Amino acid sequence: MLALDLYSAFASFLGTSVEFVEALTIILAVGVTRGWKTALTGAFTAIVILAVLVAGIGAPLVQVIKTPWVALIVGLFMLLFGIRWLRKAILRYSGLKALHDESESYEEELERQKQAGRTSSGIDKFGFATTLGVTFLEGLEAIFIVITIGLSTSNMTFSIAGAVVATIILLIVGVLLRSPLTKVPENTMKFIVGVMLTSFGGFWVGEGLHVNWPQKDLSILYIAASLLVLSWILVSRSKARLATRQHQSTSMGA
Amino acid sequence: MKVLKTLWGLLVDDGRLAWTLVIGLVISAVVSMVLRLEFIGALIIWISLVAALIISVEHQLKLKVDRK
Repeated sequence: MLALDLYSAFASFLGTSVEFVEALTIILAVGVTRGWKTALTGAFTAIVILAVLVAGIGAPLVQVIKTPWVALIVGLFMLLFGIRWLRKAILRYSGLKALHDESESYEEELERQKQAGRTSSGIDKFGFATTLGVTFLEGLEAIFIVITIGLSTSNMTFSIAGAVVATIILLIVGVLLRSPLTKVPENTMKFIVGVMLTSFGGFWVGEGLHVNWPQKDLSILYIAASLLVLSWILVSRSKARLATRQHQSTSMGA
Repeated sequence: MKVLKTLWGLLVDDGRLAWTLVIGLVISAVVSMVLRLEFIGALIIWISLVAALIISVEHQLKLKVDRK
């Protein structure tokens, strides 16, 4: 019996860890780029909503969780947000946009949107919506795992205990990673966040559209890897073209 | 209203990027949900992401090279 208890706790621990790592990655990235208050408020709000749902609905929540519309809306939001950042970071690395050129109309527009998205309390609306969305989605999946394992092993207590241990460990990891991440240059951080949000967003939009991702969640890594390779190719090619053009201009002038 | 305006800002910032993505997602939805080719639907989303970035960056590169 003890073996089944431990199995229940371990399975729940592993399953929820995978979901929480995904959420933690985005929360850390949003925290560094859009502010920790924003990132943590979004995540905390999602946790409160999830707690209310669990308290109000309980185990039958498993039936409600399979909602593709949630994945579609959150995924679309993250995809649009992420691919825009990724594009901007690629343009900056390529030399097609200055690293810091406030006179560019694009920057002015971005700044205007930033201002529009901030409230007097210092909360960035898009950062808030991103961490709320990701924590809510991953939290729902974690709850699904805990309830399913708890019901199938008839041991909900150990299943919940496994999830609690996973939560504590990942919270410690999050606190430890917070400081080193703030030392990463701005464009590099925006590039990394762009790749992550685009790959997560693309995956979730796909889930909402009922596509069949090969190897399920692992597809997020494949998408991210392909975006990294593509970015490297685009940056290298753009730099080479600009250098050639510069050389031709210099030759003609001489 | 502000949220809608900002979402619109995301779309119009680079029309090529946005439209390539939107067209890709619509095709993926049709292929996956109507034709029931779910794996092809996933491939189309992945290709849309790649194509949207290539089209957008190449356009910016062309503008920059022509301007010099």
